[in-house]
Amino acid sequence: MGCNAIRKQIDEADRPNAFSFEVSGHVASCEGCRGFADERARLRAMISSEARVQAPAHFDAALHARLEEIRSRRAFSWFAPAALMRMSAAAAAAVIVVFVAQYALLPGNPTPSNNPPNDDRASVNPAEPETPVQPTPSDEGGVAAAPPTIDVITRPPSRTNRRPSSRIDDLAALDPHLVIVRGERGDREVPIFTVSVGAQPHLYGTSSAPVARLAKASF
Amino acid sequence: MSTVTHQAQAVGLGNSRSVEAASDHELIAAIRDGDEVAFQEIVRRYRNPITNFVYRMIDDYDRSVELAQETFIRIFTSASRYQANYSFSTYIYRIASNLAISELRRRKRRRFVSLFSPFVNDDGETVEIDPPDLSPRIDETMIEEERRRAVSRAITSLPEKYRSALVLRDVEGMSYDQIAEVLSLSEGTVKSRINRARNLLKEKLSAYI
Repeated sequence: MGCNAIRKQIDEADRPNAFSFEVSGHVASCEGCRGFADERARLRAMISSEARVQAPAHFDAALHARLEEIRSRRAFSWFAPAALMRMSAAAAAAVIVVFVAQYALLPGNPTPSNNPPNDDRASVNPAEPETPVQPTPSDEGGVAAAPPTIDVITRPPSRTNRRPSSRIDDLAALDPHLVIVRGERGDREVPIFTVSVGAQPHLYGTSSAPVARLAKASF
Repeated sequence: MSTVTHQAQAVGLGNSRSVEAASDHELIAAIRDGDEVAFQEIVRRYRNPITNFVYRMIDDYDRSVELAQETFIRIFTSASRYQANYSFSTYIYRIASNLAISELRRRKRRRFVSLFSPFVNDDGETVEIDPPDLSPRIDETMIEEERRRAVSRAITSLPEKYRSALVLRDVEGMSYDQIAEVLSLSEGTVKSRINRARNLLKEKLSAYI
């Protein structure tokens, strides 16, 4: 074993001058390694002889006070800005969940091929509130020859003379909308409550069904 | 805090054993259940070693006391996340070491420069120049005090990566594998850093060796 390896072992010894037999034999015969071992021993003794500092007498009391402060701070953590942000995020998530659930739970979502009236038909034009909507042949489940006998339109009950607005504005109203079912025995008005957030139902009627049915939902 | 002699029943360790006889792992398990007596025992066991270790790292007694307290606060608040993969002493020294290194880096960012440190070495670390006073002294106590101050300053002037390993080895007396766990390094890296630290100290303290 060369001097470098010996000195590495000297440096890594658990205690100064506590070497293996091989290292001790080399140190006894090598002046350079002996000097290195002595120097390392003095250095380690000097470092370890440093007086150890003690924790102050008030250490435990100060620690206890800091712990109490942390506990009291945690008790009001809901008022912290981070907590408010978490609450806001939770509220936003709840709105999204309601939004998705409303759309998913709307009954009778038809396949795209059975989509009844398009968006224009379901939309309400305040200038022509009573214009009947003619369903396309696909509204009858693919039976093109059967003419519809029931027409469905929607309009807000008291908005016929308002300025033209988008359908979303009308559907967003909290007051009940009316579905006018125009059939062989005359028209019937069915009030439908709508919700301003989430999917809005588009209703249509067919000759085979005496009631208005959901055609699709839009946002 | 007076010596804790409460029965182990208080920490759920069994009726026949006292808190003082409980192992660190048992105490941590009791702390996890909210037992403050067990926490007091842990504080009693480690407050002096941790304070000394942090003091050797940052050379600021008041701040080292604060960081030692912060170490125990983290022990208490994160006891539920403690996993007994290593010895508890390794765990607590790791927390203290991380706090001390963060403090050193924070001071470095603020450019705390002492009057003894106008130079920077190749690693970008501040190098303190502390020339020994070679004039004859009469009072042996003063000589010894000066030597101690020189050693303390020499340790403080070491780059932090060398300092932490050297303090854990030569001041706290840890084994290489323990130091490797505390510092999250390989054992070979720890040995290399300690060797490098001793070589640097030998140069700084050549007048005293």
